[in-house]
Amino acid sequence: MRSVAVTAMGAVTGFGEGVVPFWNGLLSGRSCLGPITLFPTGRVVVRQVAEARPLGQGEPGPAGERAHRLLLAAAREVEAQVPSGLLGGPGTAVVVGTTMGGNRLFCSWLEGGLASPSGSDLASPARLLAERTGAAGPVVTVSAACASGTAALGAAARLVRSGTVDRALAAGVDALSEFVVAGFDSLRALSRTTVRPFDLRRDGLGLGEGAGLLLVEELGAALSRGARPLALVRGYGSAGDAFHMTRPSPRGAGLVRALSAALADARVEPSAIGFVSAHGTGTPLNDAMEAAAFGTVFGAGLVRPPVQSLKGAVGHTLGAAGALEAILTVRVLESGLVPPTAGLEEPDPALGLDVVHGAARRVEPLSLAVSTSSAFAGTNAAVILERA
Amino acid sequence: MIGAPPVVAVTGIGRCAGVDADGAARGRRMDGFARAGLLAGVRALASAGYRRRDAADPRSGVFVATSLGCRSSVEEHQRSLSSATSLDDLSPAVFARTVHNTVAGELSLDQGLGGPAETFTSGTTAGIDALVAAFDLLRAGTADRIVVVGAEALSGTCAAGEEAARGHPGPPLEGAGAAVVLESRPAGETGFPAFLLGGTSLFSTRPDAARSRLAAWLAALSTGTALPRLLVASGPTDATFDADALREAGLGGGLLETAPTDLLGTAAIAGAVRAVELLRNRAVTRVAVLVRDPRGPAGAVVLGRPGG
Repeated sequence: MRSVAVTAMGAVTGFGEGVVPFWNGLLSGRSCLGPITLFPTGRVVVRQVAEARPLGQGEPGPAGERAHRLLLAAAREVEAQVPSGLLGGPGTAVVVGTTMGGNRLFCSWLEGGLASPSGSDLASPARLLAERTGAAGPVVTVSAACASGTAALGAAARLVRSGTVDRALAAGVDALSEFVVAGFDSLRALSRTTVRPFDLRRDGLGLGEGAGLLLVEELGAALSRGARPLALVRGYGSAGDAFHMTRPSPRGAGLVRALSAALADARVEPSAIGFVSAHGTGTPLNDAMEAAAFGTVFGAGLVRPPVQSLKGAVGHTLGAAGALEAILTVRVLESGLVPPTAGLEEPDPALGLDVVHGAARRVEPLSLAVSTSSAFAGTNAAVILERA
Repeated sequence: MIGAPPVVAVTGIGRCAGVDADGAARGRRMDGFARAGLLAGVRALASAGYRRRDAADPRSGVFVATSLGCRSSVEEHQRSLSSATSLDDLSPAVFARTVHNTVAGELSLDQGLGGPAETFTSGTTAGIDALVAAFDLLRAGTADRIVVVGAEALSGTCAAGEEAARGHPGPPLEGAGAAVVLESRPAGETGFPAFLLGGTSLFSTRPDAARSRLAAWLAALSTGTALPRLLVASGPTDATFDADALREAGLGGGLLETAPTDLLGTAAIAGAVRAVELLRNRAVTRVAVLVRDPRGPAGAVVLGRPGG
């Protein structure tokens, strides 16, 4: 069976453009949530988000669609890491996970600000990436709400593993807008204080925006061209909750099934997992659900893998979250360092998790890790990565 | 056939056009997209003889394909926001409907599908991507059954938007869906009129290049057998697969049907449903469903009988 390697990564978050500021920001334990500058705040109650820096307002029209600009910024970073021309041709696929696509453009058109909604569809970021790189293989968009980024990586790895292509660009991207912030605000899902994943006082999530992009390649082909694998994509699984459209099943049945499927796909035992990048939104229900699911999969009462959430640092970036969490997981595997969970001060003892907080922690030995995502409509996804 | 991968049989098909009494009852809290997808999926599963179990089935999954997804709910939320003076003017229920995996969620909930759940929003080729992904998972043994659903719904504004974006009218759909149930079966099994034999997708902004590449793929898949008959699912406004063009690509004489309207993301699934009907009647032995999105993506899936 073909092995799939991660060979390049690009990221844009509230910490700035680049994987380096992203990783350093996470290690510092800081949060980049701050005041909203992207739109008037008269119609929202919660006014703290993590806006990507240094992207400004941009120009109007399709070229100015913020999600496109975020993705292209991440693409520039990946392009700088690979030989010119590598990404062009039928041997390269593009898979983008997004919840909104070019939604800001669509809303501008609805408001009468644009003559046409061209470029506002969900698939527009993926096409843009294909046009920029010359990729001529499958160009796919997946929209699984907050699990979109993880689903994109899983789909990309599957295309490489099956031999459909030799390499694939797997991305997650979403941009902030009043549409999104007001929507989550209306659900009363946003924290009124501080985003605190797995904390006893957690009271909701905080929104962010960004893009994460990973180049995955068939391992032999990557080694032949002299690439250094950063990690291996060992397995992927997804599963529906079949419980409720907006609430997770209390025992995390869907996440248990997704994790189990990923472990089976990777042919590894739960005990081999040394780190978990959790969805960890900071809502009372999600964090409790994840804790229950991790207990089921990794065993209650036993020493469990350490857990971390990046959402207190860069906010919940929706479609970008899974891709950014995969990048975080690759860096954890490379370095053996787990960043602290920003915002977490007093771990909820009822959850029974070992959540890294306060300071970065060295975890050794570490060869396998999992990143999980859970979404509205009950979609769950998990990807297993191995140190190269 | 020891060691051979399983084959993928089409065990059920379903359609939904508009809203009937059953749809109105089931889908009262949904928008047209979710309702159409749910109904098409439920009907396909019923035709496959699927019965919901007490516990969610981890071996049965749902894949959804759409171009616009819940755009009508997106529009509704945005319009509410535009006129709102405070948060209290917004409906959280409407915002909750703006996630495009609602069909996957509703079908999973309604039918107890606890297996793989994916939503493809690749535009007109979304159905190709969903069918190919389901094919790969079933052959790999990751699941036993996947219902693949295509769904689309257009409000008047969406229809106008599609026309503005694409330069030609889209169909005035108020919720339409199509679905096939795919199940893995042991290699060598032949007891179904239609099997999914393979699929491919690509990206090219040149119609001639897309056509040539798809023709080459069809020829490679058909080694030892005749080329499949062709069913063009993109609709009549896409000239990529008109008769002259197909003849130039070495696929002349194979055109069966062209979908009369642009079905957007439901195209490949609706095409697959139609292909199954043709195969059931023994009119043909293999059908290739061709789809092209004028913005670049294109693809094909082949249905028929193994060795036919």
